[in-house]
Amino acid sequence: MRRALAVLCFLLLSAPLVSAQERVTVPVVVTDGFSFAQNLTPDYFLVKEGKEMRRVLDVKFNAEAPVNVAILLEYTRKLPTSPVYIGYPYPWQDVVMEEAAVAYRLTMRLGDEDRVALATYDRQVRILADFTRNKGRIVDHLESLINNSGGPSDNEVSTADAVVDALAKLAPSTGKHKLALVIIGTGFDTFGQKGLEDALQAARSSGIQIFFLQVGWQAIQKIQEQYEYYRLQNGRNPDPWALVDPETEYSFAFQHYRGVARASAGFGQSVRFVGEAEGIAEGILLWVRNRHLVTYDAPPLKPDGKLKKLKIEIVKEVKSAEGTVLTLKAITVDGRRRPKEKKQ
Amino acid sequence: MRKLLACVLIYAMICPLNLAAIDAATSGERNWTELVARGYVELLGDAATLAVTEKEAKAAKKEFEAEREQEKKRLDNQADAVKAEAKRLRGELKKLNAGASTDTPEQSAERKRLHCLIVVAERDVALLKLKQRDADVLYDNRVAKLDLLVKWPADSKKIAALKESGQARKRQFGNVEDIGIRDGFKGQEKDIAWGKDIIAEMKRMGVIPPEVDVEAQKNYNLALARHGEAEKSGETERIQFAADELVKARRSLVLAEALTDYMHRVAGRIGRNSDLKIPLQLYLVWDDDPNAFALPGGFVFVNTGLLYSVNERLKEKTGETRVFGAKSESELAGVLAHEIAHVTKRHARRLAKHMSIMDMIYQGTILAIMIIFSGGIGIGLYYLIQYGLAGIGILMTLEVLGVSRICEREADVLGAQYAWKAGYDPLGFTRMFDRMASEFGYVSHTSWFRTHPAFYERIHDTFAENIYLPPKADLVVDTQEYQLAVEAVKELRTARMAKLNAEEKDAPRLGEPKPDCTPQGMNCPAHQTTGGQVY
Repeated sequence: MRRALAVLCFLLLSAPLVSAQERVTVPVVVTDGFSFAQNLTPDYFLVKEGKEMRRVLDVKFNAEAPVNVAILLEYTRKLPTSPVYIGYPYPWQDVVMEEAAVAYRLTMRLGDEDRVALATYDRQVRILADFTRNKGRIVDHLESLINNSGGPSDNEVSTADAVVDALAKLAPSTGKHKLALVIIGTGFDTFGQKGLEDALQAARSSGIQIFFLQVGWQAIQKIQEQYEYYRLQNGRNPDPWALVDPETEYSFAFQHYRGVARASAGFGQSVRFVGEAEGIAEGILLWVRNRHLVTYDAPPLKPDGKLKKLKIEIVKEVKSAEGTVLTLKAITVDGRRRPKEKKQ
Repeated sequence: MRKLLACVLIYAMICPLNLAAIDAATSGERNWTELVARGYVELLGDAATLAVTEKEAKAAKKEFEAEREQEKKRLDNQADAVKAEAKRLRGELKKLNAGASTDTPEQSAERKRLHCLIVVAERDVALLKLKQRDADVLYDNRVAKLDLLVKWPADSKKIAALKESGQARKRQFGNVEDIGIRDGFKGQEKDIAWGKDIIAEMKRMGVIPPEVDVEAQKNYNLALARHGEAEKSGETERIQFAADELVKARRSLVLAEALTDYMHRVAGRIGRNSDLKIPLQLYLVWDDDPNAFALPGGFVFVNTGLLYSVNERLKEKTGETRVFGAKSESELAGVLAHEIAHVTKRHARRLAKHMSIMDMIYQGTILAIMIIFSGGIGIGLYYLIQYGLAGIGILMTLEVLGVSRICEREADVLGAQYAWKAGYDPLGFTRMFDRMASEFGYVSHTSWFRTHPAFYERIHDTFAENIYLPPKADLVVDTQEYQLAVEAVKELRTARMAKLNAEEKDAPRLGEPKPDCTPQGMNCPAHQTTGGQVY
């Protein structure tokens, strides 16, 4: 008896310790670019984090659940990169009008049960209306933005700060509601506390799908013309602090925040004409309504600052209503990352 | 002598004189404030006897202008005092922050009190701005009334002369006795398909608010389903709650159906007495804007705000509750008749011809027509949509706007005729304008970017048309049924707002929930100063 007990103790003490696993839940949109797969079960998904396969614990899907969209509008007096030396009047009003028109179309696309919140940002987020089903209230606020003769109070803008701040404000509501964050602006960062990396980190870990709609194309074209004219006349860049011309900087801004959106299982789009907004709004709502929430187990991340890439594949056949096999792609967050801990 | 006395007495009985008016005219002492406080319709009726001269009107206008400036200055001073108070309170808040890194319970209470007072002060500034706007609206209305008093007697003589000479029927749409079979109203059936397409597009875009009866039915079905589920669960409390909700939903459904039925009857009565040649489809929708709009093909949308509306945004900003709505069935009938006139005269088609890119940008045209034929869409929204439309190529040219104003004037005249033919007092529509002018302003100047003529012109035109119309006995001004309909809207609206607010409590949050900063909610004084009362 004592020997049996001793052997048992030895086995227990020498047994390898099971590493603690954590449950990770990520939004996943399964689409072929035209249609969206719905109600998929865990056996459809193959999850790979880093190069390791992960076990899918649960999949939730509810297309009927109301969507809650937080709209963030850039509201700053000075279009970044509009060089001080050219003397071209800053066309912030044109950008605000465009943003309001896009936001209006998005708001009007929402169903009766869906909610919408509206905020503006320059270097910080200012809430105009918290989540409401009353779309008229949002439209009133959009009107007042246009009619506001005083205009924005700040000359700078930080999209990164806005993203991090908005996601922090939405954090308590995540998990209970189907949330989406739509950023409508130029994507510029002129002055702020947070950088692109902070925005990326916040986006991938938030559980909220982010959509970035870049506007201001026509305003940037006008500034670019002025910029090139100045260069021709004077043989130098009008703004010694700008490394690239306005169009290039605008393009970079789009790449940055499209990347942030993609990191959260969303997408980014450049809105060249306001008429495009209808189709884009429909796309956003389809992405949010048709998202699956996939939960898998994974070991806790090491605080090494390295991104553990996440890849999800659809491993079983999905057929359309007509019976054709669909080539589906699972779009999800780009991975997980735990920032490096600073040595004390 | 006796004969002379008898003639004088008979003359005095036949032609009662407004002695007070004559005295005032001759003595030059009029109480202008009291005079212009009367409604437009009443003043137009008495204009001839009041005999206001241009010189008198000019002097009175000067008086009113001085009064307006004085009032605005007084309100400015009050606003400055409130702003100074708000600044002082923010200073106190700053001191509180400088005092410590975290709050003790007393400091937390003090912070809350300061927040409340600052919010109340900001709200009071918004209220004072609103009162300044009211002062402008009041002035505009007073000036418009004086202009009417000066000009109307001459106009009314012209009308009387035209009637006397037997030429009244030669005016545009003069053959009112032939309503229903007169020329100039053909082709309405060609618009039906277009109207249906527009509605489908608007529904797709989500710009049509929910219909009163449809929403009530949906809520009732939901309550019924929930009651069924509750009964299956067997939980007493849940069953009781679901039963209570079902009773409320049933009552709302009954009220909504009765209300919609009533609106259909009123609209149907007018439709049968108009130049309409196609079926009329009326939709009563939930919208607080006191408005209605017509689409080609006989589709008329009426907002519940036309019967009863509360300006919620104003209430949120200033704490003041302003209620508006048609006061009588004849006012409602006048608005419906106006919208039906847009359909009979095919104004949408006429306007569409003037839009340069209509064939290419169908969607823009729908919205543009909706804007133009609605009563008072917010100007900001107008520019918002216009900008959106301009982004895809539609331009609201001055020509289009000019045509739109012609169409509106035609609809005013025809609307008065239809209301009259249907047995309603045609002055109901004029009274509606009167109150809209007093409440919303935009009285006398038609700016180029307005799609409707100024209220002053519309009051003038509809009153003139009323004189042309043959007299009729027993014209309906108001009915008890209408007053019950208004009560129904109030009750349904209250229930609806309560439901929406309850749902908001479960909503996600972007910011911190707003503290209850009403003086009652926080038990804080409504105003506080360093010395003396602010206002």
